[in-house]
Amino acid sequence: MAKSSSMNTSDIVKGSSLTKDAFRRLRNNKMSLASTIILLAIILICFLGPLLLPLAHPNHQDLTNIAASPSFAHPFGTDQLGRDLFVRVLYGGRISLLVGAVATCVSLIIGVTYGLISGYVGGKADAVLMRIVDVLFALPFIVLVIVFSLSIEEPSRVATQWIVETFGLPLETVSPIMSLIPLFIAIGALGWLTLARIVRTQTIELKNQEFVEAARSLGLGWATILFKHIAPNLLGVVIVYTTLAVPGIMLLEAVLSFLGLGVRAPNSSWGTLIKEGADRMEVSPELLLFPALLFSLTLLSLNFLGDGLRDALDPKSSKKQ
Amino acid sequence: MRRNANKLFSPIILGILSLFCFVFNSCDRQSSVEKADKEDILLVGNNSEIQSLDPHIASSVADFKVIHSLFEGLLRGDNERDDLYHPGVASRWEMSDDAREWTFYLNSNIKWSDGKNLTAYDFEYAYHRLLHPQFGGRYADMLYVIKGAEQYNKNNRPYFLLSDIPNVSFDWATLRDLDWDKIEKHLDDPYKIEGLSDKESDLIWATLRADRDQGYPDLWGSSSIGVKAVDAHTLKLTLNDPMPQLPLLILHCTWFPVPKHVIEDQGGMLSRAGKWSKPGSLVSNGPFVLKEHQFNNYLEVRKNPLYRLADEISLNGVRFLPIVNGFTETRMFFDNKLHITNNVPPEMIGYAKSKSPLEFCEDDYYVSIFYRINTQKAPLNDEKVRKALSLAIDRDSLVKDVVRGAGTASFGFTPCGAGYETPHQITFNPQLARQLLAEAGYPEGKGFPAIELLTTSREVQKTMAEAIQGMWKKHLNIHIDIRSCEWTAYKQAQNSMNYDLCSSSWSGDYFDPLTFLDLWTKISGNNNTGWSHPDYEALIARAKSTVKLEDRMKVLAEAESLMLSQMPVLPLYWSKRVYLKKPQVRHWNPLLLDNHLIEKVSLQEQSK
Amino acid sequence: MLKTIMNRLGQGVLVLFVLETITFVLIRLLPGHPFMGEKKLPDHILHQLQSNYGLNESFWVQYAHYWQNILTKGDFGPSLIREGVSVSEIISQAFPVSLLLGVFSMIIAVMIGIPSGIVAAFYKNRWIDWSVMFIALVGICVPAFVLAPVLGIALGMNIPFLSVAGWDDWYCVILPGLTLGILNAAYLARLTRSGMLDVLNQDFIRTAKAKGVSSYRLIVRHALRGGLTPALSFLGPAFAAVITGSFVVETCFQVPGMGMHFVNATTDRDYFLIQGLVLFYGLMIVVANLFVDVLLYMINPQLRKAS
Repeated sequence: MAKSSSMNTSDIVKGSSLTKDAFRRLRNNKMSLASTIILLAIILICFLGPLLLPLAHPNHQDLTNIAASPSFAHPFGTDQLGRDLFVRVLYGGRISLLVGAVATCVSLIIGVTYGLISGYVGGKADAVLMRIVDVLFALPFIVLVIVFSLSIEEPSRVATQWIVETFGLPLETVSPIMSLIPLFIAIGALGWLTLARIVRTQTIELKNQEFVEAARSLGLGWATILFKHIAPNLLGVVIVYTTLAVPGIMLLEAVLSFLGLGVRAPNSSWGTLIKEGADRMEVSPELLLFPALLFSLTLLSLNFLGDGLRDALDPKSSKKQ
Repeated sequence: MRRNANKLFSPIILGILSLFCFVFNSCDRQSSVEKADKEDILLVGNNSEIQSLDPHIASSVADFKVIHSLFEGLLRGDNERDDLYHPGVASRWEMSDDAREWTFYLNSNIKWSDGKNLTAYDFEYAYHRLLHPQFGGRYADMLYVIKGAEQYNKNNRPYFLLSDIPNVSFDWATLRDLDWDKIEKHLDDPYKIEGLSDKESDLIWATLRADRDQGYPDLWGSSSIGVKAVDAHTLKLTLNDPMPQLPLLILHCTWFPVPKHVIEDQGGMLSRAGKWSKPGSLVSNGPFVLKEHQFNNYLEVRKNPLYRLADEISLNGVRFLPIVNGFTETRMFFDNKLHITNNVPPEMIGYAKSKSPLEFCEDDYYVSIFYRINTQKAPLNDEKVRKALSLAIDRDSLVKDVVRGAGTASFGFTPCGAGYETPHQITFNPQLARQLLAEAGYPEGKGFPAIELLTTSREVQKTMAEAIQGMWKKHLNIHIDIRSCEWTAYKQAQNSMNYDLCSSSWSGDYFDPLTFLDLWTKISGNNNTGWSHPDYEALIARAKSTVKLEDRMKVLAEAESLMLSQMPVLPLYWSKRVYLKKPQVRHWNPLLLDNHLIEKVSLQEQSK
Repeated sequence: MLKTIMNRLGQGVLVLFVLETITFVLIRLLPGHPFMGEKKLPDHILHQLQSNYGLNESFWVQYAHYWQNILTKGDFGPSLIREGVSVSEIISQAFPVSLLLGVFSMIIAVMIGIPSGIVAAFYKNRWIDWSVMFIALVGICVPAFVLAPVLGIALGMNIPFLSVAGWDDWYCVILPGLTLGILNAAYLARLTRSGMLDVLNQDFIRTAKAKGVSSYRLIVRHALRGGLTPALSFLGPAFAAVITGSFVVETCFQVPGMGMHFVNATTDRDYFLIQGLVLFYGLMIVVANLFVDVLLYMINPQLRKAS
């Protein structure tokens, strides 16, 4: 702490920009630095590993070698159909990270904008906007997801067929990606609700503070005030919430596969692998252990990174101590 | 500063401490099984929450299991063999020479659990209710073997009205099946019915109009219906076809009596929302009576002191626990919460077996697991493709590696049993499979269109689908997409034939191969493959009218051979029932249909 | 204040009405019908069943009928799957169970989550912060369907009076309550920590610190008010969600609560039951949110100023 604060003082003397400043602070947070490295490593292995390493196909079955313990040939062992768990964890990671990233972005964009507007405008408009959130909040998620996925099934089948025929891609590669689309839509459509509410509460708190009133008296437009002055102050809460939401979204994907709505078999995500592992935990604990370990490591890193970012971005923290 | 912060921790520490005190204080608690042993109560895992205890509304296996302990039909099954039966409410029975007319003589001192006498009228009332066109009984078709039952259930009024017209000498057979809906529209605008004189035609229309003017009275009293309570203790049944195996059929819950006096009291025959089947008002005639029911928790039945063999019942009661999740159930068993489980999931079989080999049970079961094929859609409308798919499935490996021994690789469709020899017609031959696929126009799987395999979201089905997908990829080089759906959507897709391949299972309702082979007739509501064959229909019809058991089985085997030679389904394996049972449970024997007589079960005192 | 509450209640009724209407439409859009059963029903029986429950009427007639029954008779309709049982009977049997479980788990969550969040914020970036947060994060990263069986096997199997699953005695609430509690505690700890940090960085705290106010007083008297805002906003809907049941925890521990009915009624297309459950859940959410808003309004001076 002491070290970083002395760095900060010298930075301020140099007069560096806010972003640059934040980056420096982030670099000095040991936990965040370690998290960033781990996260990057996991992403790299998941996305580049299968391209660079001579690995087996994730769906290659070997029924003579079921649920084998970890060995040199299979570093994580094999699953209930004799497939290499290491490769499956890598491929599963791709899907989980993709779902996490896309769905979170969607809900971030919708949620922050919605919450900001609702909170800033206030009055009747705020009441109506928040009641819409209330209604969506109280709708049972399962009903919505089932409706989404079933109504999108036929179009997605047609689209899959079209892609297969037009681009000559094999069905095996196209169909798992297409099966994720209802998931994105459902999660994107509902994931933003909590965020919208949190952002709104914070906005109401902020909009009456001196600096906003000052900006207003300077004659700045509402959009400028909203996005230049209020939004940066929300970063802390939003980032914390986002790092909390990503695990939620990645877990949701697993729960949905439980209802037959997630990623299509034989492809897997970390969520489905963990679920399959949890079912077999008495028999072969490594089926649960390895995917759960990677999954938790990713989420832990995301969280610590989020904390670090939060501290680094908080405009007030530069002044303190 | 630190001391102050400790104040924040103190409630937590206190909480944890009190929790621990509590733990040590309550270590002498008994487990649920020990407690139940003392009270002679059997704790049984029952798969899912029951839908109804009304025998005419019930439709799931879980319902039937409870109903079997509450009610008793004309005959009672056997606790060791599926093909034996004993006197139940009826003490003796007679069959006519052509096996169409059956007379049951009821034991005269059978009582309902409220002390009222049980009579043949209760049986007639029960069949009347289940078949009543305005009741909507799901399992009404189980009674269609009775003469006139199907027509009555489908409200085919001309069938009854016209056969009751007196003094008319010609044959009505052709007119009996007139479509009632169409006729109803023409009542005030009658047309001349072909092949009849004007007078006869007018007579028919007049009869039908009179029926309408009387407000469509119930036709149950018609002489064309083969159910008749001759007196309080004699029930006469007349069947459509000869049926020496009727006693096995009537062991099913749909043939049980219901308490007429109670139902009439609580909303009447047609009321489905009647309260009579709830705790407090359910009156039954079986070995047990309903005591308590909490949704998703348990359902408890207690010994019925008025049961005809009450003295022979050793248990005081049974608790049925609706545990859907097999993993939870297995863990509960090992934590002494259950005497008998419903099912050990394949993933846990190895663990359960090694943990307690003596409690592990593996019984044959009257269930066939298979994939339905939509025979109307390309490329599966080609018999060669269907055969190729079947030949490329290594069923032995499937049973050994995927289901972990909870089944037997099938070589036909119908499980063996009931004196039936299932034809050996299914093999594993990848070479031949590739050849057939090439003949169908897809050498090396080239150009094979995208098709989907529909499954429910159950884990076992998913794993199996993945294994078979892998086999087809390996042996035929074709890719099949797997689509898993939640249950109702799956069922809807199957019923409307909106699928290519569909994972399915069928469990026998009664102990006879017909319960399996009847599926593939054209009129069967559960065919759903689009396949039918005139020769198959003829063979099934012939089997139905054959009295001699041996000949009948031969005809059925011939029908199955024919069906399998065209492959509208891919049989996979015959399921086994894998479950756990505490050693103190006695007289719970392996039964193919799983209709255990719980009143015969006893809990043996364990040596202390 | 009272006027605001009445106003919000009125809006709540409107929300429930819209919610119920959407649900009414959505579940009828789902493929299949409630009478699917294990075997396909012959058409004439299916029609008979549908007309028994008025499901063959036009959409508007059904809709009007539904509201009419609720408003005039307080009748939420029958369950279409468990025939002879009404929706209100099912809810009145399952709700006390979920309520007990929910309250118990929330007590655990608040007892663990909020103090750890405060401590972590106070000792920011020191080992105590990291270890508290690490434990909290494990609670977030582990899915309920893993935590439930792990706790069940580790504790339920080994401690004699705890049971792996089932609901035949009051102590059965402990393990499912603990599972739900740990999951929510993790969220609470995170939100409390970040909320507290926000407040601790503000000028008035620094002023107080400079004046020599003790740490304990500083937290309890000054920081706690604003610092708990995010945690409290989370608590409202979380509480409503928890007392209306959690499917995963209920399935893993065989708890006869509302969560199981939610999923089963949806997959079985038990129209009236889903409608009833959604209405009930909606009511809980509306009340919980109102309650939280009032609470925030009272403890947070800034919000009071704003409105």
